[in-house]
Amino acid sequence: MSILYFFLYLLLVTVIGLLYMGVARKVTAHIQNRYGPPIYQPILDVLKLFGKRHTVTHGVMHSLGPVIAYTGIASTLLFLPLGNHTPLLHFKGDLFVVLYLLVVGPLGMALGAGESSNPNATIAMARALSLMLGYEIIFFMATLPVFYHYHTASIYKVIQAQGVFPHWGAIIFPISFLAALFALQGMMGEKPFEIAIAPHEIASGPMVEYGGKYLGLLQLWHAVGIIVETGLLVDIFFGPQNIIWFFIGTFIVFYVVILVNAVMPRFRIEQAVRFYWGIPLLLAILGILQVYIWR
Amino acid sequence: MAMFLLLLIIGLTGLLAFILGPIKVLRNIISLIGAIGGLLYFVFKIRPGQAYALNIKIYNVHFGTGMSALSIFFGIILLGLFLIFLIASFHEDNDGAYYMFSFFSLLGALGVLFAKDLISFFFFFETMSLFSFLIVLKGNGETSHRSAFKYVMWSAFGAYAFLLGTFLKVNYTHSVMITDISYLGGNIKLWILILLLTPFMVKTALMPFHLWAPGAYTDSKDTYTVFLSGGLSKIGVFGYFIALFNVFSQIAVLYPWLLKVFAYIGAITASLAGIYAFMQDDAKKLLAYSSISQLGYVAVGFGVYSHFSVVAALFHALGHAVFESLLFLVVAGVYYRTKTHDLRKMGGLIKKMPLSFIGLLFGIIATSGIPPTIGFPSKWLLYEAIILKNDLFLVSLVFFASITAFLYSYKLIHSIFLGKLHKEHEHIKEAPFGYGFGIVVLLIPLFVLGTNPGIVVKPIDYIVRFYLKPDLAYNLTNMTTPLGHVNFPAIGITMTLLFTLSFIIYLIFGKSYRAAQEDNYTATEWIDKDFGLHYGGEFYGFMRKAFGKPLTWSFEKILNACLKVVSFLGEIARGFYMGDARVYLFYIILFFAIIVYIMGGKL
Amino acid sequence: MVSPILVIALTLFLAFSIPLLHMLSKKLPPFVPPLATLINLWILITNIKHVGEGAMLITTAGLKPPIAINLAIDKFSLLFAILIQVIGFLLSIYYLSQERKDMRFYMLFLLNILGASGIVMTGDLFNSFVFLEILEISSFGLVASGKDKKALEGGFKYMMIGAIGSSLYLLGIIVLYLSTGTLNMAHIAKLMPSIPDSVKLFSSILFLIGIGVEVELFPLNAWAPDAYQGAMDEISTQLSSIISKTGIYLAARIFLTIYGGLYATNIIFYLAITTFIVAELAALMQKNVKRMLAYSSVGQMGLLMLILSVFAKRGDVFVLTTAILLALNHAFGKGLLFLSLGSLTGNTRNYDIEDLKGAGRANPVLGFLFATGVLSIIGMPIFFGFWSKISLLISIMKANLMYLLALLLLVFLVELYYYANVIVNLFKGEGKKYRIGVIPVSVMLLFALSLIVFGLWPHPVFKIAQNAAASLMERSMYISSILGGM
Repeated sequence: MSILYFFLYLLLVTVIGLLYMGVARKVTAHIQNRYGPPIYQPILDVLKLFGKRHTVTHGVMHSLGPVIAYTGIASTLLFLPLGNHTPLLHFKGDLFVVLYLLVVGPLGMALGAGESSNPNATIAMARALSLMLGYEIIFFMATLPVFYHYHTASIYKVIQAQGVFPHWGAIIFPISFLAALFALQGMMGEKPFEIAIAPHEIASGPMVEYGGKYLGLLQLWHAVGIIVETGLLVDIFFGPQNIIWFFIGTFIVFYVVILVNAVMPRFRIEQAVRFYWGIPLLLAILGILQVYIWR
Repeated sequence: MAMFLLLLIIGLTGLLAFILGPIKVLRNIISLIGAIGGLLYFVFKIRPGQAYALNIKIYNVHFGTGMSALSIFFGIILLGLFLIFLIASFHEDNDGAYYMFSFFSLLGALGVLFAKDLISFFFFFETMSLFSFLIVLKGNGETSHRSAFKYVMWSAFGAYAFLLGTFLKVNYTHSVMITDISYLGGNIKLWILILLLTPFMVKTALMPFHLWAPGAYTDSKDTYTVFLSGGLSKIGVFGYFIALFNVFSQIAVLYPWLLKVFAYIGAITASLAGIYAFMQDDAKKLLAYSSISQLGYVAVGFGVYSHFSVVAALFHALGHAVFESLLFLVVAGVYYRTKTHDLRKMGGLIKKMPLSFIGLLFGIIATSGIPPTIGFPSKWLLYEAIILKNDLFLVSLVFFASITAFLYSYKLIHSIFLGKLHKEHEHIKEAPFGYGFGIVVLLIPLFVLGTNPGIVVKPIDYIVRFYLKPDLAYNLTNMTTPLGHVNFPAIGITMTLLFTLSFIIYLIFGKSYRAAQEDNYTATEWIDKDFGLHYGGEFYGFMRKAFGKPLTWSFEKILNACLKVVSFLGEIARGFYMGDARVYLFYIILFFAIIVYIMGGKL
Repeated sequence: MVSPILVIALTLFLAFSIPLLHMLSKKLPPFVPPLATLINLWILITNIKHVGEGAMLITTAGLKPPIAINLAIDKFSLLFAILIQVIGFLLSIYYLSQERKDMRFYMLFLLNILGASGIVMTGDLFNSFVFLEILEISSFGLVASGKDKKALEGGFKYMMIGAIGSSLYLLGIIVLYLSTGTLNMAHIAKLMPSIPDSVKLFSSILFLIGIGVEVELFPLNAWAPDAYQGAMDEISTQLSSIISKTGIYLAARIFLTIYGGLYATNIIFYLAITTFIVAELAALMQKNVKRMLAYSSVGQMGLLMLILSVFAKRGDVFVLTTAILLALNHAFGKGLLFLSLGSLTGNTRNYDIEDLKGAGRANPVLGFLFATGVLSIIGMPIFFGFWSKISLLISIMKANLMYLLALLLLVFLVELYYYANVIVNLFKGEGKKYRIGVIPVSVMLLFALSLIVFGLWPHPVFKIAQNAAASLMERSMYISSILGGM
C-alpha cells in the first residue's frame, strides 16, 4: 500500500512540476509578446521523448547519468515535507540529509554529461558545479537562522514551530529570506544564472548529447527539482500550510523566479560567483547576525 | 609485553624484507606474513589497559594502551591500511630498503600509539617521520627530493616544538608521562599545549603547516601515499586527542578561545585546501589537497569540543582513512597502467578499467559526504554539533568546504574516467589484482559504516564519553542529536529503491544504441576522428578570475622571507671565516685583550 | 696487568722504528700503526678492571708524586684513551687500503696517537704540554700532507694559531708553577684554595685560550674550517674524532679537576653558545660539503663546551655523562661522515654539493653510510645520536635553562636544514658509480654499526659514560688516590 502511495505521490509531484514548466514557458512567452505553447506542453514533450524508439548513448555512464539524477531528486522529495503534508520518510532525516541528497541529482547529471565527451557538456558541468560555490552557501546561510531560532535541524519541526501568518520565517527573518531568494534563482538555474544551460552559447550544456528517454528522464528530474527547491523555501519560510496552499506558495515563488528570468540577461560564470559573494552573502551574514542579536 | 613483541614483529619483518631484498618472491611473502601476523596479533592480543615499561637507563620507556582505547582504534586502521598498501605495492618495482623503511614507519606509528611518556612518544614520532621521509625520498617523481626535504623539515619543526613542549612540561610538572597540566599556574600551560599540538598540526597538514603535504603526497610512491595520507596522518588526529584531553583536560574551561581558533583554522584549512584542490591538474596533487581539506574537518570537530563533535571528528578520521585511501589507490592503479598523473593526459578510462571507476565513483561520493556512504554520518554530526555550539559562521565555512569537495571530486572522475579515450590508452587493461583487492576491501566499510555507523560510533562513544558529557543517542542504524535525527539505512534503501524504479523506466522505454565517441554535436563543425574533445586541465580555470588576486597569496612567501633572514645571518657568520691567517691571528689577540679587559677588574 | 706506560713507550718505539722497517722493506710501514694501536688497545683493556675509584697511579723512575713524572689514569682517562686507540686502529686499517704513502706519514700518524694518548693519561701538567706539542705538531704535518695547495694552507693556519695557543698554554702552566711550585695536577688541585684569586683567574684565561684553540671555541676556531677542508678525508676524521676530543679531555681535566670548576664559567658558556650558533649558521651557507662538515664539527665542539660549562654551573653527574655521550657520538658520527664523504666523491676532492648529486643513489652502500652518520649527528632516533641529543636537552632542562633549550632546538633545525639538503642531494638523479674496496667499507660499516647498535641499545654505553663521568666528578678522590692521603 505504502509503495503504491509512494509512486502516486511521485507521479503527482512530477506532473505538477511539469505543469509549472509549462506555465513558465507561457509566462515568458507573454512577457516577450508571444502566445507560447499550452501549459501541458511539457507533459506531451516528455511522453514524446519516452516514445522514441531509438536513442543514442555514449556509454554506460552516459545512460546511467539521468537515472542517477532522477534517483537523487526523487529521494530528496521523499524526505521533504510538503507543508503540513508529510511523506513517509520525513522523520528519518533532517535538513542536512535533504541538502546532501539534493546534490546527487547534479552529480548524476554531471557524470552522464561528462561521459558524452562533448566539450559543451563538460564546460556546462564545470560551470554548474562552480556556481554551487555561490548559491549553495548563500542558501545554507540564509536558512540557518530559522533552524537556529527554533533549535532544530528537522524541516518538519521548523514548519510546525513557525505557526500561522505573522509568525512565518519570512516575516521574522526578512533579510535571510531575501538572501534565500537570491540563492534560489541560482539553484534553479534561471537567468541571470542560466550559465550551465546557456542554449545560445553552449547548446543547452549538459543536455547537448541527450535525446529520447534520457532527455525525458532529465525533464522529469527538472520537474521534481522545481517543486523540491521552491518547496524547501516555502517550508522554511512560510510555515505550516496545507497541501493546496503549499503548492500555491511554491507557485508564487516560482513565478517570481521566472519573472526575473524573463527580463534578465546572463552573467558570465565568474561574474555570477562574484555576485553571490557580494550582496547576497552580506544579506546572509546580516541574517545570521539578526538571530544572534535576538537570542 | 605484547606491545613490545608487536613492534618487534614489525621491525624484524622490515629487516628480513631488506635482507631478502633481491629475492622478490620470498621478500613479498615474508612482508605479507609479517603484516598479516601483526594485524592478527594486534587484534587478538592488544587490549586496553595493558602497560609495559622498558628500562634503558637514560630513562624508562613506558608502553601501554592504557592511555586510551583510541590506540586500538587507530592501530587497526594503520595495520589494515598497511596491508592494503603492501599488497598493492608488490606490483611496483621496489627494493628491499623500501619495504624496510615502510615497515619501520609503521613501527614508529604504532609506537606513538603505545607510548605513555612524552619522550618515547617523541622517539617513535621521529622514527615514523624519518622513515617516511626516506620513502618519500625514494619516490621517482622529478621533484621528490624537494618534497622529501620539505617533508623532513616540517616534520622536524613539529617534532622540535613538541620536544620543547615536553621539556617545559617536565620542568614544571616533574613528570615525563602524559599527564594533565591544566592545574599549572600562569600562561605556561598554554605554551606547552600549543607546542605539544604543533607536530600534530603538521602531520594533519593544518593550514599554516601544510606546505609539505602536497609535495610529499604527490611524490611518494603511489601505493605508499595510500598509507601516508590515510594512515600516518591519523597519528596527528591521535595526537590532537592526547593533547586536548589527556594533557590539557580543562581546556574548555580555561582557554575556550583557543578551541575556537583551532576550529576556525580547521574550517579555513578545509575551505582553502578544497579551493586549491579543484585548481590542480595533477591527480595526486588534487588528492593531496583533498586530504588536507578533509583533515580540516577533523580539526573542526576537535575545536568544537562537544561530545559528538569529537565523535564526528574521530569518525571522520576513519572515513578519511577509507575514502582517501580508496581514491589514492585508484589513482595508483591508473598510474600503473597509464604511467601518468596528469589529468590532461587521461580520459575515457571507464571502458578499460571499470572496477577502478566504481572505486573512484564511490570514493568521491564518500568524499563529498553524500549518503549512504561513510562520509555522511561524520559530516552530519559535525554540522549539528557546530550549530549546537551557536557558531553559525563556522558551520557555513564548513559547508563551503564541503561544496568544494563536489568540485574537485567531479574534476577527478571526469578527467580520468569519463569522456573520450586517449589513443595511447586503447590497449590498457584493468588495474592488477593488488589494486583491485584494495579497492574491493575498502568499498566494504565505505558502505557498511555509511549505513550502520553504530558499529564504530559505539567504541568511539565509549572513549569520548569518558571526557565529555554525552549528548548523542544512537543505535546501530540511527543517530539522534538534540537537533535532529537520521536513519542511515533508510536513506540507502530509499535511494536503492528509487534507483531501481528509475532504472526500470530507463529499461522499458525505447532502445538505445551506442554512438561512437566522436559522433557528437559540434554545431556543424567537422572534426577529425582523433581530435581531442575531452579536456581535463584548467577545468575550473574561470574560477581564477572569480577568486582574483587572493588565490595567488601563499604561506610560502612568508616562509621564504624568514629563510632570507636566516640566510643573511648565515652570510654574516660565514664572513667571519674569511680565510686570511693574519685576520685569524688578529682575532686571537683581540679576544685575549677583550677577556683581559672584562676580567681585568678582578686581576 | 700490563703497565699503561707501555702504551707511550711502545708507540714511541714503533714510531721511530718505522724508518728502520722502511729500509727492510717498503711494504712494512703501513702495518705498524694498526699493530701499535691494537697492542695499545689490548694493554688498556687489560687495565680496565684495575682502575677503580679515583685514579690509577703509574710512577716512573721510582719516585712518588708530586716529584716525578707520572701517569694518572682514572675511568675518564681510560675511556678517552680507548676511544683514541679504537679510532686510531680503524683509521690505520683504513690506510692499508689507500695507496701507500710516504713512510713519514705513518710516523706522524703514530706520533699523533702517541700525543693524544699521552695527554689523556698523564698526571703531570708540563707533561701534558709536551704531549700537546707532539699532538699539534704531528697534526700540522698530517693536515699539510694532503696533495694540494689547500692542505698546505690549512696546515699553515693551524700551525700558526695552534702555536700561539700552546705557548699560552705553557704560560698558564708557568703561572701556576710559580705560585704552587709543583707541576703535578693532583697536587696543584690540592693547593688550589691557597692560590690567590688573581693568579687563578689569569692562569685560567691563559688556559682558556690555549685549550680554546684545540676545542675550536668561537673566536679561536678560525683555523678549523680551513684545516678540515684542506686535510685529506682520513685526517679530517682524525681531527674531529681524536684531536678535538683530546682537547675536550684537556678542558675537562684542567678546568674541572685542577680548578675544581670552570673559572669564568659564564664566558665559556656564552662563547660556547656563540660557537655553536655561528658555526651552524656558517655551515648553512656552505656549498662545499666538506667545509660544511667542518663547520658542523666546530658547532658540535661548541655544544660540548657548552655542556661542560652547564656542568660547572650545576654539578650533576648526568650532565657530564651527556658530555661524554656527545663526544662519543661526534667521534663516531663525524668520523664516519668524513670517511664516507671521501669515498662518495671518489677521492676526487671535489666536494661541491652539486657534484655530489645522485652519488648516494649510485653507490647505495656509501649513501647508507653517509646517511647513518648524518642521522646520528642530527640525533634521529634508532641512532646513537638520538640519546646523546636527548640527554643533552635533559641536562639543559635540569639546569633550568629553558631559553637556551629553545634556542638550541632552533639551531638544531638549522643544522637539520643543511644536512637534509646534502642527504636529499645525494639521492636525487643519477650519479657516478665508484669502485670501493672491502677494507674501507668494512671500516666504515664498523663505525655505522656501532652507531646503530648502540642507538638501539644505549644501555652499556650509558653505563660506561656514567662511570667515567663519576670518576671525573670525584675530584677529591682523584687527588687523594694520587697523593695518597698527603
